Amino acid sequence: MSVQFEVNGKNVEVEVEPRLTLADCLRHHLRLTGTHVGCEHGVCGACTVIVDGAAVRSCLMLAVQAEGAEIVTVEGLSNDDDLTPLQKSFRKHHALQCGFCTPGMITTAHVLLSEEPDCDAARVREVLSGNLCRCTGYISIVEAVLDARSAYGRKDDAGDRARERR
Amino acid sequence: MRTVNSLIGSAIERLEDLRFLRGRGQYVDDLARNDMLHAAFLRSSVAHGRIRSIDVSAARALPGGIPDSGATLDGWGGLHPYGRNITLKASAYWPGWDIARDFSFLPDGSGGYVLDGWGGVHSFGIGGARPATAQLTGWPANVTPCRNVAAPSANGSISRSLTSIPPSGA
Repeated sequence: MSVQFEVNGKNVEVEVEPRLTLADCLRHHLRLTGTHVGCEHGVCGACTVIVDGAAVRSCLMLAVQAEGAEIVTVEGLSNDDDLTPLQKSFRKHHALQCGFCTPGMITTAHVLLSEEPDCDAARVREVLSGNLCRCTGYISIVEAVLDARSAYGRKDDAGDRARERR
Repeated sequence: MRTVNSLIGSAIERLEDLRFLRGRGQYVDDLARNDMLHAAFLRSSVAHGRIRSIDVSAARALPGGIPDSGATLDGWGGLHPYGRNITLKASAYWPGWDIARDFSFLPDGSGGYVLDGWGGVHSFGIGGARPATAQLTGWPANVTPCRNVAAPSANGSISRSLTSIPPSGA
């Protein structure tokens, strides 16, 4: 069946089987392979995309459910010229190694920081608990997200860095 | 502290981060090539099930699909023929239940060889006697197990990838 939605600011219309997941639709039909499929049952978070502003596992959502939605993938959070502040922070803190979980980390962290730029380390850990990383051990990822808060309008820059770095 | 060189103590930015962070990594599943044939692994839904036949008609009906006849290899070394004029009479299993890595057919269609996961080469026959390869089976001393098996040439000699394994009697 035909489904229409917006991906990274562009309107798309795709002809899909009703059983097709949004993840496979993005990867195979729209060739947006930045969204990764790891576990295919909502555990690993690698397929996380942003649907109408919320971080959503695209392997647990059917493409037909995206009718009329605004979807942003990791490609939509990137540009050709330079890394974004969030991406720069990931690079600086070595918050990735193999890179497979990274698109899900970026989308999840982007939603968190957009809504809660003043979040603390405990909150970052809570939100990222839905994203598995087998390379880093998470410490560097949490630091990268915390360090990127200023780019999202963090008010409390004085903060309690000592506690967060513990 | 004596400075040994400028790299020690410096943060080195990784080049691959630029593509990984922007969703431009090229993992195997991301690749798309012309005339690419995809493989999918079907996991057994039952324990100790026996494959009686495999219907590949749907796969063959796809544009640019699979060859008219051939055989599929299961994870336990079972060979399952499909298509025309192939009847496999040899047992799909052999002692030890080794896991197969590769197989090839003799050019005259009389049979072929299966390579197990530990480097053993096992013959099988199609519709008749097995080709003679007993001396190739097993682990020769001081030889690294081979990684794949090539089709023997028309005169019956074994191709190079197998001659690297001397007969166990030698």
